[in-house]
Parts: sequence; structure tokens; C-alpha cells
Amino acid sequence: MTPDKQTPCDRCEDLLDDYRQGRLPTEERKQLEDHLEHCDVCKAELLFRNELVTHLRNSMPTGPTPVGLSPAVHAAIQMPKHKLSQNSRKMVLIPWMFAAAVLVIFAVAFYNNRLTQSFDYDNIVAVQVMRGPTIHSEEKADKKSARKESPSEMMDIGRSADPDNGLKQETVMPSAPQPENAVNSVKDDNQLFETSRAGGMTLRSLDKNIPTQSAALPTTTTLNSDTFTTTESLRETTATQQPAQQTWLPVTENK
Amino acid sequence: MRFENIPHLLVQRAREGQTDAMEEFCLMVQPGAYAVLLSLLRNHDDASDALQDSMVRIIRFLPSMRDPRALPGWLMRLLTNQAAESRRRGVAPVIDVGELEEGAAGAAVAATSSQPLSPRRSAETHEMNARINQAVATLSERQKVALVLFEIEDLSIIEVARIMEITSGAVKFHLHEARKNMRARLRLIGVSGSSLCEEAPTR
Repeated sequence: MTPDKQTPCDRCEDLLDDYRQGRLPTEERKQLEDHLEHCDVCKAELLFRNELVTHLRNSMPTGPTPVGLSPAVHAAIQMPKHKLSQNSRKMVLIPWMFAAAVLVIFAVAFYNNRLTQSFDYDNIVAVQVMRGPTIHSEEKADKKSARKESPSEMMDIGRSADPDNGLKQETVMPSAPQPENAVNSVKDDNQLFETSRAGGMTLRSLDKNIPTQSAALPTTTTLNSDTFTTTESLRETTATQQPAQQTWLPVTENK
Repeated sequence: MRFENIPHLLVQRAREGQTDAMEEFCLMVQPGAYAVLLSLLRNHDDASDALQDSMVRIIRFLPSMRDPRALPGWLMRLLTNQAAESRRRGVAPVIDVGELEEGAAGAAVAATSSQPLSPRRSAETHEMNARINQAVATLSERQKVALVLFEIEDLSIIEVARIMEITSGAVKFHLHEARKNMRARLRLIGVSGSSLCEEAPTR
């Protein structure tokens, strides 16, 4: 209990209130009284607290205390119980209504967020991922087997052929036999394709105001397992770069 | 704690909506409620206004009170909240510390004197009491509630904590701050002949 410095210990500060209110056990009270005899700081603190209470009580305003119940209180007592409870029920409902409103706002925001996540910067509205082998160089070796794959395993890539009508044609490409540089050139030309290593994907552009990149192409291309339709420029590119593979790239001009 | 002497049966009948029981209950609660509000607001008019609002609230919410055994604490909490609301609405003006300094010179009188007061001394005491009440009004709401409930209502720290819905440590903190602020303000008022004017012990 003896303070190390010229300050009362923290324990003494706590005990002083219990001591003043008579809530201190006998042993602790004796220890505190011994401490107070030797510690002027704690003694001054005790004196201050006692005088503060005296001042607070003496300064209480004196005057007439209300006698009887006021008319407003009488009216509240006479008011039917259901009216009082109605008011309180409304008060209870307010936070619930607020919580429901917040929930609806969050749900709408979440739904909108999911929609916007599926939008591409190039006005691609929806991305549907389908199973199927991807177009990658490591799979080129398996050309024949890939040609026989079922349609569900193909990668559908749709893009806007006509800027006025949005999506009009879907470009269907087999995954395996496509030459890598040809695919790359398609990518470079259109910048609308996205390929997934896990599988093919279908990109559909529904925006009628599609950027002029696709419109700049002279001809729309359609590629499938039997027939490949490319743009003239693409055909030229593939012809110059892959002359030996022109045999498996039969090209049909699209209408 | 106040309100502990209210019969449980009376409370039960009042909760059931019996008008006579509610009236009797209100008559039993009102004096104690007024005393608490007066301690907090330090003004008769403000306390009277707050009392009326408090009684209406008590009548309205008593039937929906969860635990009737906790009535004393419930009433004290309702009253302290009502006093805080009255203060927020501007019923009880917040006193600036500067005002205390202005009238400090004329109020330097020992209030604890037990001698019969002369008219002049009585006027000075009255002036000093008003200054003390202004000093209380400058405390923050939590400091004031903690100080009044602990020092005037003689509640324990735990009881004060339950009423204020804070921890015991927080109550001790608010009490400590309230005392520190009161010491500084009473020094400005110039309360003499006591330890209130002395420097706070260095801790």
C-alpha cells in the first residue's frame, strides 16, 4: 500500500470509494486507514471527494416538489392499453423495416454487380463457358481426333458480324486443327476473342453499336469442323504464313 | 437503490393495464423520479418538464418491460436517458467554462459552514450553489450521470455500470474525469476553506 513515489497508488484510488461507501471488508479498511495516516496525497484525495459530495448535495435546488400527477400523466393512464401498445408496436417495427430496406438494397446491388461482372469492355454481354478443348499449340498434334469431336465439345465463338444487327452469326471453330498463328491473327484482328485454357467459350456481342473493329473486316468468317470461312485478310495471312496447311483449311466465303 | 420498495403485485397489476394500479404506481414513482431528474438537471423547471415526459414513457413502456424484477434499474435508466434527452433538446443550457470565471470573485464562500447564515452570507451561498450547478452542467453527460448516480444516489460501481450500460472500468474512468473537471471548475469558482482549491495530487 505504500506508494513508491509521491503519488497514491492506483489500488488506493479504487478503495477510497468503497471505503467512503462503507463497502470495504474490515481487513482492507484497516490497511487503507493505515495507509491514509502516512500518505498525504491519498488523504487529500479522500477529503476532496467528501467535500465534493457535500457541495453537490448542498447545491441541489430547493423548491416545491410536484404533488400529484399532471393532466398529461392522467391522460396517459386513461388511454386504452391497445393505443399505447400500438404506438410501441410501431416503434418496434421501425428498425425491422429499416433492416428490410437495407437488405433489399444490398440484394439489388449484388445482382447488378454480378451482371456488370459479365460485361466486357468490348460490349460483350454474356460469356458462356462450354466444355471443350482449347486452341493451343500443344493440342495441335491431335488434329484428327479433334475433328471428330461432338459439337458440344466445340468452342463457339460468336461475334457481331453486322454492326447494325448485333449478333447475327456465330463462328464455330474446331479446337485442334486451327493453326496457332491463324488464331492469333484472328485475335489480333478482332480483339473480341477470349480463349480459356480450361475450355472454349462463347462470346456473344449483342450491342448493336459494336466497335468498328469487326466492321472493318471485309467478310465475316464462319469456322466449323468441316468448313472454315475466314476474312480475306485472314486467308491471305494464313496463306502466306502457312502455305502447307491450306489443304486442311477449306475456305468458303460467307454470304 | 430507489424504487425498490414498490410492491411487486402493484407493478404486476399496472402492467396488466389496471388503471387504478397504474395511478398508484405513478404516485409512488414520481417523487423519486423527480429527485433523480433534479440531481441530473439541477433545475426545477427542467426537472418538472422532464418528469412529465418520463412518467408518460413509464406508463407507455411498463407493460412491455421484459423483467419486472429489474424495475429499479429500468426506471433509473429511463430517467437518465430522459435527462440526457432534455439536455440535448436545449432545455438545460450548457454552461461555458468562461462564465464560471466571470462570477468567481463574488462566490468565494465556504459552503460547508454549519453556522447560521446572515442574509448576506445566505445570498453568497445561494450564488455559490448556482455556480456549482453550472459547473456540474459543464460536465459531459456520462460524467454527470456517473457522478450523480455514484455520489448522490449512493449506487455501487456495478449498479451504475448496469444503468449506464457500460463496463465498470468505464464508470471509474468517467468518475475520475468528472472529479478532475469538477476540481478545476470549483477552483475557478473559488470555493475556499476546503481541499477543492488545492492542486490535484500528482499521479
